[in-house]
Amino acid sequence: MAGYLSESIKNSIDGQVDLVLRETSIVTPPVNYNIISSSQGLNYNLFTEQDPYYDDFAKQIGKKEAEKLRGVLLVEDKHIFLKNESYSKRLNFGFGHELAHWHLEWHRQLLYYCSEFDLSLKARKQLEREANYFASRLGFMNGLFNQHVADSDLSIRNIKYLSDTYDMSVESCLRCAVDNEARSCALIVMDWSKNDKGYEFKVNYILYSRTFKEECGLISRTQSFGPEHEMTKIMNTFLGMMTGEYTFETTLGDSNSSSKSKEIIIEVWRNNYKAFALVKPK
Amino acid sequence: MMSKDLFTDKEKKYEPSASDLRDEFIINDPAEYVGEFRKFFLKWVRETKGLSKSIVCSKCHVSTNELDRVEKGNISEKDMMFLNKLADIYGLSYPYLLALFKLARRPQKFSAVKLAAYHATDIDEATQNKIVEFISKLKGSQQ
Repeated sequence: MAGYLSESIKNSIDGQVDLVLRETSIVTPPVNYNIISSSQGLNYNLFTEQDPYYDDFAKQIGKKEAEKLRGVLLVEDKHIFLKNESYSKRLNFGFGHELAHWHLEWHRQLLYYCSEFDLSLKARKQLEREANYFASRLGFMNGLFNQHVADSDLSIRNIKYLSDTYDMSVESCLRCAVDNEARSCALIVMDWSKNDKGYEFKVNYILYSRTFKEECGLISRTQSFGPEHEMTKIMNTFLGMMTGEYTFETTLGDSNSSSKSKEIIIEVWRNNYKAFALVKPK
Repeated sequence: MMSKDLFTDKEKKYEPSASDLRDEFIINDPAEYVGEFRKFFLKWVRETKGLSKSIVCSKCHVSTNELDRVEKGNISEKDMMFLNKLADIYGLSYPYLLALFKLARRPQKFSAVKLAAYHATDIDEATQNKIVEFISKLKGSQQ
């Protein structure tokens, strides 16, 4: 998400996040969103799928579409409505996202006059990208998370531990870690499905640390990992019960990718939605 | 009236101003007029306020090139923060500026319920209306 934002916007948002953390004296993770909202006189309520109005809403626009609504900020009322997610880490990110619309001056001023829906699609997307960046920087307390990552062994196991410390999702923690990592690494995030032969994985997106491409080349985005692939076998053997993270060594580079032939270490893990592979040169 | 010498004298650089617009532009099509207006407006306001480029650049933390680009009307959604700062410095309405540069609909058409929704951005107007309706009901139930 950050790739779409200019340095000046990122700097401005980082400055705002610093200000919020200073004003609320939050110095250790996890971020307390209640303190931040009350310091600004903002109220919030949670809504659930069990709310009577929600049922009507979901019937009118469809359940899947309704599920995408995670939060709303009413600037004039100084009120946030958040969907009560069973996964608290997702709720935190949604809270941070709505706080962004309040704390970023150019968002708040706009929302006093009009709705986000009054903006052009491009402008709306930009606003949402900026709010997501703010939520991410706030949750990771600007550079503090990356300092913690830098001070420890780069592994999914460690990042899962930090995910609990910061109360941020494992996926967002992995993304933030790889995006800002000085060591060479890449993150392959895959959609997974299960059939008679076991699990199959298809690349959803890939992130690289600054040095990985130079050292190892690019990993093909279009590849999928069928039942015979080494990674799938590992996943099928060890991750059926999702009991932990597993590490194995292999060689990166095939006819479908521009990657150089390089011995690598892959650590894999999956949750109910996605599978993650952290790739590091050996 | 603008002197024609301004264009023939190679030593002088052509500096557009709001007065140029009156002389040079014949209003045939209002949309075309607004299109031209976008290319002059921000520079004209800055000059009217007696502010130099360097002062505005330092207040907005942008380079002269960026200010030049914006003053020529080459504005995208990535300039919303910048436009907000300019609106603040020049005493202009920020939402009106967004509308002028086609980043928002016209202020007369602004929605009555003002909200920011965390949802997929590419939703149609009917879905937007349903979200507004739902939130209005939730808000009503809280009061």
